[in-house]
Amino acid sequence: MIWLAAIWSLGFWLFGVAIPLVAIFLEGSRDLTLNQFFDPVVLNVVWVTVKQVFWSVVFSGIIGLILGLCLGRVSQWGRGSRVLSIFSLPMVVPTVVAGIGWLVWIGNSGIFSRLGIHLDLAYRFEAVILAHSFYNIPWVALAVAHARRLVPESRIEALRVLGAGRWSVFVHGVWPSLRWAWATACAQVMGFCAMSFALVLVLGGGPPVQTLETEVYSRLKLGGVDWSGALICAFWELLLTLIPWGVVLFLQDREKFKISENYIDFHKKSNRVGVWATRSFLGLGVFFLFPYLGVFSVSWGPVLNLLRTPEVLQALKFSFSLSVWSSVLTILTALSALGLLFHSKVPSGVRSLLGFLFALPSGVSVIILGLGVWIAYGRWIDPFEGSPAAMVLLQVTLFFTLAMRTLWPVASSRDPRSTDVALSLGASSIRAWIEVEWPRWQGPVLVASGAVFGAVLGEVGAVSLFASEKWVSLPGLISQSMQGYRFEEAQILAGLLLTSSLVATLGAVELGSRLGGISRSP
Amino acid sequence: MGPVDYLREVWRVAGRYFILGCGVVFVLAISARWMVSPRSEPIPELTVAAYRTLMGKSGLGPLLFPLFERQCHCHVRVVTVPDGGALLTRLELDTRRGQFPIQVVLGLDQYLWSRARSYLESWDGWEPTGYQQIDSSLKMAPGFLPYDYGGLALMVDQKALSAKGLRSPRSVSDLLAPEWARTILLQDPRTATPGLTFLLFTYSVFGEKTFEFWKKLRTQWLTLAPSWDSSYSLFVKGEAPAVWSYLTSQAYHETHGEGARYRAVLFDEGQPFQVEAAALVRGSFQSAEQKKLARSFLEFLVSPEIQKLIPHTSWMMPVLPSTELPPDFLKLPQPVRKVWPDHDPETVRKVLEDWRRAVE
Repeated sequence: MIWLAAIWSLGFWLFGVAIPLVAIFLEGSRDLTLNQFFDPVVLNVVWVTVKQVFWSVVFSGIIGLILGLCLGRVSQWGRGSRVLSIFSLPMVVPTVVAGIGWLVWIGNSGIFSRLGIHLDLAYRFEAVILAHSFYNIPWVALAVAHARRLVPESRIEALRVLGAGRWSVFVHGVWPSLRWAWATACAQVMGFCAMSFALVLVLGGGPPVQTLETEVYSRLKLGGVDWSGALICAFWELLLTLIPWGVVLFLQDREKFKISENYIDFHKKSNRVGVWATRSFLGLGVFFLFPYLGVFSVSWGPVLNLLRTPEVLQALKFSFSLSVWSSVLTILTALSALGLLFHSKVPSGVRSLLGFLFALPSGVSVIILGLGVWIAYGRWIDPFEGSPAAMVLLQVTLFFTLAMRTLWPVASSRDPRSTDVALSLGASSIRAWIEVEWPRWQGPVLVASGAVFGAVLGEVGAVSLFASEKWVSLPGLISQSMQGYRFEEAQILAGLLLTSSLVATLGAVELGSRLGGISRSP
Repeated sequence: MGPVDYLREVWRVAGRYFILGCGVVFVLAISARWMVSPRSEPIPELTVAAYRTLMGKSGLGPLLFPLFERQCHCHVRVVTVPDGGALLTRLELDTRRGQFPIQVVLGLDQYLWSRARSYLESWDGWEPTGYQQIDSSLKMAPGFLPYDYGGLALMVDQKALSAKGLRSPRSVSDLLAPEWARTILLQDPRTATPGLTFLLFTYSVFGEKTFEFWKKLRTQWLTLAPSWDSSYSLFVKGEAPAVWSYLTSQAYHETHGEGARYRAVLFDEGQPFQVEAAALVRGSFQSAEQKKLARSFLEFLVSPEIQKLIPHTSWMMPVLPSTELPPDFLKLPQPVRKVWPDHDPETVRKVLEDWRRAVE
């Protein structure tokens, strides 16, 4: 089994990440000089990106922490799991839909403006920060809430008995158990904001408000591809996204943080808050989805007619198929990678190296990776003929780290004693795994699949790089409608896309919660 | 434990997941079928690359290609790319791969064409029928066959202008007036050809002072959109009273009964023009017959039959002066002067580089 996991995960890394990156590096490094890395134009974009990331992380981190601490008290089995489901939805809202949704509210012709509240917020730096914060607060809150649930009640009680006040209980009893979950979530938010594309393009108002990702896009657009310029931006982007992640992993490792001790405590909680508090949190969860619901403000007459057209049905079928394949393969790849990482025969040095290699795709621009696939496999894949296989490969690469981090706590909290007991009682290794391990995995696997499915459904980069007339996805159809002056149609399709993503994710998260719960990376 | 026992054990233990497994396999199979079913198209004899809008529901493509197929008794395979810029990228990548499946590119403008010349055929003495009738100002060089053209202009929403107490600008410099702050929708010249045309137009108006103008203009635009369609969608939503677009956008609104509200504004300095053309791809022909077919397609493009379709499909002007224009096109304002911005690739690169430094 370990060999199969190794071949699958390393094969994916080689063909999906390494070869495309090397191909684009060879292409771009031909006329690359050191001075280009410090070109004032590039450094200015780096600075704007850092500033934007900083403020987005400050707001998401602080508000998410406070919210997560409260949510940790409510998120039990039963009623609380619905709160968790609602809070997990914003992360799968397609960014294009989010951009359109925000404009419906804060745009110059938006709802606030029509109500006489002139915010003058759209197309500014502040709008990007607002949108990023709204996107990421639930994510941070969820991570903190999960960590908070794992804090042993006995520890809190002991501190209280010893006379500790609220602050001391938090500092000495709670904070040590959730700081890494919080730091990791913040590192992920940093990566997301540094690589943010659609939201910055829609809400930022253009240069100078841009990120390295939009700069990469502008250097590769309009033909006459500026490979070296794009490569430099990609290098800075990789640095910005991987440094925080690396620092968190390094410090975490030094402090020998182990989630496994806590994870066993996971199922032992009881409700501590009342129905009204739970309802309030449900309302708060919906509040974080509210900006995106703006896309439904269309006249409903043409909706049904549009949804019956062959183009829309074909795009729906194609997007659905793509999501099924991408999510199944992403989960398989993540499981293989985790199997390899946590296998007892893998030396710790190799494990650290593998951990770094598997984290690499999370910091690479999809545009860079996509063009790498163009160059590397151009002889076999014609990008303009469209290639669902290339789309799936890119999407697996994009969402692999999301799945891996979601399943990380389950992998790291494995208790070999139970398996040993099963083996010593005469069970085969497969039966022992299915009886002992699978019940722990099934819920999180389903949750991760749902999250990946929803995210893939609204993904734009990979599908636009390898789309063609034959293979048009729902986001592709939105863009076609806009190009053809059919703006209301685009908004209806955005509503359809949002509904599909939310329903798929909500279904998977609900079912996953019943089967064994949601887990997050440490 | 032997391999047979091992498999038996797997089967015994996994038996309870059989239905679930069958379900997953069924969903994967259905998905695969949906993903591969469109592959049953016949192999074409002539392959044309065009940008996506051209192939849209109400675009020129759905009328043009069936008409040509009927005339030539051949199959035309259309490869679409997201926009004009991607046509050039396509040519670059094909050359890099050493594979040339496309014989004709449709939709290159003068800027893209000047950068794509090395990938395209010149006509080697051949001249398409109808080429002589095309206005000489639209012709660049043999190999570039113009099929439509249009001026660019600032489109204004009269209703929004009066609500804000603004008057239409008469000159490009008027856009710098304080009352125009955050009211104009422009396109990023790095990613959209109308945006690039506006930048090069300002360069032809202001010369070396262009970048001073752009530094001041930074406070005036509401957003610098990545594409024409995103900026225009914001305009019709009422986000801003003015957008940089095509003169013919006025004809579009006229046809849809909104002519009084959306008007094109002409500048004293004139209007920049954009020409769209078709070209043959170098090294792409397998046989003399295929080349003949590609040439006949070019001739078909500039035939009166197709030219009369241009206004209400591409929303551009036909290149044949004899083409009868629809009434909404006849009402379009006439520019004071037609400006043909410099499309030399080196100039474009330098202007873009300086613009980047001025704006960022």
